Amino acid sequence: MSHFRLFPDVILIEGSCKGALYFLTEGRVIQLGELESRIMSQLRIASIESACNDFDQIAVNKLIQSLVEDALGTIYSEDVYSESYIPNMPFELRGYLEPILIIEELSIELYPTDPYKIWTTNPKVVFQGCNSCIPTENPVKKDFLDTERLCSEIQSTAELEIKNATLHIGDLRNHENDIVSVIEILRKAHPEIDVGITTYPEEISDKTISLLKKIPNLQVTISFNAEVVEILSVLTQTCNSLSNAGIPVTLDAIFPHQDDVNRYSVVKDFATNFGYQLRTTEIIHSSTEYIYSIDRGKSRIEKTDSDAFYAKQRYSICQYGKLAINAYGEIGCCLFGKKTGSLERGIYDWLSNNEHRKGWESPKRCAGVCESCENRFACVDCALIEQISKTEPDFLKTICAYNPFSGIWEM
Amino acid sequence: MRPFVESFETRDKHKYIYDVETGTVVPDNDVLSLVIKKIGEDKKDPEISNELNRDFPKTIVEATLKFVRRWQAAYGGFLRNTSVLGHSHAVSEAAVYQEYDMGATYLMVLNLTENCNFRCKYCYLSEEYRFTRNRTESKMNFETAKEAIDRYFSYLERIKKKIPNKKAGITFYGGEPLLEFPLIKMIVNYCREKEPVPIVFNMTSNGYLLNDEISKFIVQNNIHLAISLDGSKANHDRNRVMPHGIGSFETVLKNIRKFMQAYPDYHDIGIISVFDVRTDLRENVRFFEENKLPRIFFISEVASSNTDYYDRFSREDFDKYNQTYEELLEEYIRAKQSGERISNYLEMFFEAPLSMTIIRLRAKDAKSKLVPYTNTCVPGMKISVRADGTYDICERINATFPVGDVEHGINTKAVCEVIDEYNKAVTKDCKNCTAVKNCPLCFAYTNGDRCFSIPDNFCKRWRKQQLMKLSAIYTILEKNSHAFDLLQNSLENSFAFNA
Repeated sequence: MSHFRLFPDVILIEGSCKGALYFLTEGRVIQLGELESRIMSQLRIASIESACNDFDQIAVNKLIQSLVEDALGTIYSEDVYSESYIPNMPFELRGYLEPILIIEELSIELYPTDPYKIWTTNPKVVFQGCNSCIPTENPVKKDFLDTERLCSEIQSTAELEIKNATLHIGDLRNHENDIVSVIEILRKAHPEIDVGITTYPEEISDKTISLLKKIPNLQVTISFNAEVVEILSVLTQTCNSLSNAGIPVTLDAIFPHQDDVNRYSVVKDFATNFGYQLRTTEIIHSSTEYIYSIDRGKSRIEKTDSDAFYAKQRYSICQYGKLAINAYGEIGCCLFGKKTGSLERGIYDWLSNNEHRKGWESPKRCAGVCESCENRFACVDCALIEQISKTEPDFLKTICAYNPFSGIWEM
Repeated sequence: MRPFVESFETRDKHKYIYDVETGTVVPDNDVLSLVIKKIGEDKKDPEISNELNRDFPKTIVEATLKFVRRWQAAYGGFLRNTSVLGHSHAVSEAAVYQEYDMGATYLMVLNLTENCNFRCKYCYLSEEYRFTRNRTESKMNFETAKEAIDRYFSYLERIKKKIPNKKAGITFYGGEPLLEFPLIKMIVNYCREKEPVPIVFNMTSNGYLLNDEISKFIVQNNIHLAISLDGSKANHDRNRVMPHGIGSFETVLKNIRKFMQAYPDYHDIGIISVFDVRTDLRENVRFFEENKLPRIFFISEVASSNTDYYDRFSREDFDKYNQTYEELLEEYIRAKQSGERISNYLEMFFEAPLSMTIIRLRAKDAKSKLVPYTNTCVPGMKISVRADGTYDICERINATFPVGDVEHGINTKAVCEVIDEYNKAVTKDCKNCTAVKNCPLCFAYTNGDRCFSIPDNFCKRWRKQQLMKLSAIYTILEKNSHAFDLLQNSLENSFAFNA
């Protein structure tokens, strides 16, 4: 009897219908056909001869030959055990051996406004809302968080390691001094922190620019309505003014999906021509609307090396390391996700009760139909889509055309 | 480049290669070992192919060559540069302080008394062992305990700002800690008032003084209790005796049963069991199966360093022990292969030693730069406080390495000296050792009189044992790939330290 085994840096992940080989050393994900997947499953537990009995012998031999030729595996004369490469011991240190906590990204929403009337359209999902300064909820509801209270809480985090902070600001022009105070407190508490702000182009005036210019190393993201035809000329002027003032700019194109015209390529060309990094935010109202900015096809499958593969088994790549405080002092991992804490109880209370882990440790393999998909360790999405897909699986179609139960890309 | 691997076979004679750098075990179809060997001889790929194609299919040889080359390039596996040197630089006080500042300290051991109501024949705090203190009347007073705790809590107060989930422990140790039960009560009450992070209390006791009042206090305060019980009456009473040589088994067993009867839902109680070559292992397996007792936390061998303890045993004792050991190991392997239930004693007897190999370090697991080799902790992770308030790095280390006291805190200069001495004496050759990912040596294992040394032939013996363990583990995994899943889960949970 002979047995086929994959080399340790090649891992078979089985989906409901098909499988994929994750070639960790090269970061490649190799899609298997339905028959190939069934043969591979069989070869895991049985000999090559047995697989030849159960399947077409030519198909089995052809598959094995191609895998050996590609140096993905080899043949043994005995039923040996094979294990996969793992970069670390297969468990995390918790409790009394827990390492210091690192917050990769702190997001703070301040003075939200809704100039593009997003909330009047009753959105179901704000996809990648964290790139924007769209209000996290209807901004007319409640009183905003007191800035002094926020500053005092930021000061209390001085011993925590926070790497980046972004202020998502709606009404910048009327709160310039408050914003400067918050940035100063952030930098005082965390001298190494990188700080950015995200705001609407309408908020950028000569006065604002001269103020922002005084804040060193500030990254500004302009969050604009991409469905307004004349926006690009406004944007050109705003970006030029900021660039002339030496302020680095990133663009966030908001697609409210209020008409059927896809302007993504126009916006993308604009950003490319001017050399700006482009992010997107899309307002999704139903599961029949597709996201303009990402491909729903096979190109969704990303390069996946061993670090990415194992990180995606345990963590939400979208939410990991994030802490968000909305304009009402509520705390969560994502500005647009579920809030489980409040500034009233404090950031430490939220962290010491392990609330952050609920978001950080929600990998895609736990998200709706993704858990049945062989590509679940090779793609990444806004966690809000993953969350809604638990109860409303159809929403996944807005971003991904793959049906793991049929193994077909239903474009 | 030279091969940096070990080869072993399972019971079914299946061959495997243990890649030291990545900690990965790869099955060997002969081609793999030959390719590694020939690359180690500096042969080029065409030459290797030509040589191996005579005996093996060309596609297999080519695939294996490609695999070994990429594995080496990506992960540094299978082969390594021969010029790699050991660890030699001296550590700085700043580096030690930085380690503490990252939250390394997690446990304070309070040695409440140097006295004991037992005279166990293998006690390392007795004349049986060189360099360790012996029993004395010395005991800790509350002021000393309070000073130690205040210092510890002040550190934890600072660290919890960096680690909001920080948890920590306090262990009551001795001598026999229950000789000082009133002091334990005062300390627990004081800590519960002041604890800056959730504190788990632990206690290691011989169980002789465990009465209703103490049991109630233990349960009320969720003290994790480890009671020493070496198994059956014959096995236990052979070594664990009272001052006049009378065995302690009946009283200890009665106390444990009474505790379990009163608190059947209390699960933070367990057994520590010690054995030597005259322990009747089969009798112990039966004993723990027949008696409903708390789970066994761990089973350990009587320590062999700095003692002549084992000189008392005959060749026949060793032979008999080895025969029983081999038989039980086969029983354990068969049961694990088939997923059968295994007695708690048998499982702990074999699984604890195997666990270090099962959860061996992998390519990206970083050890502290202060002590990059062996399984030792960084001094200060644990602070063991003597009855007089002197700090040691561990309750198991002898008294010749004090690293501070309750009045002045940890003396980082003394810690540096201890680490430097250890690195010079113990770890200088570790870098090139194939057991580098799962070596059990530590300060306590290697301590002598103000110095450290590796026991004779230890490294060679350990490397051989490692291969035997790998053989047993993979013999099991060949038949039951999930055999150790529970072990991995329980290890992860044990670190969680649920307060």
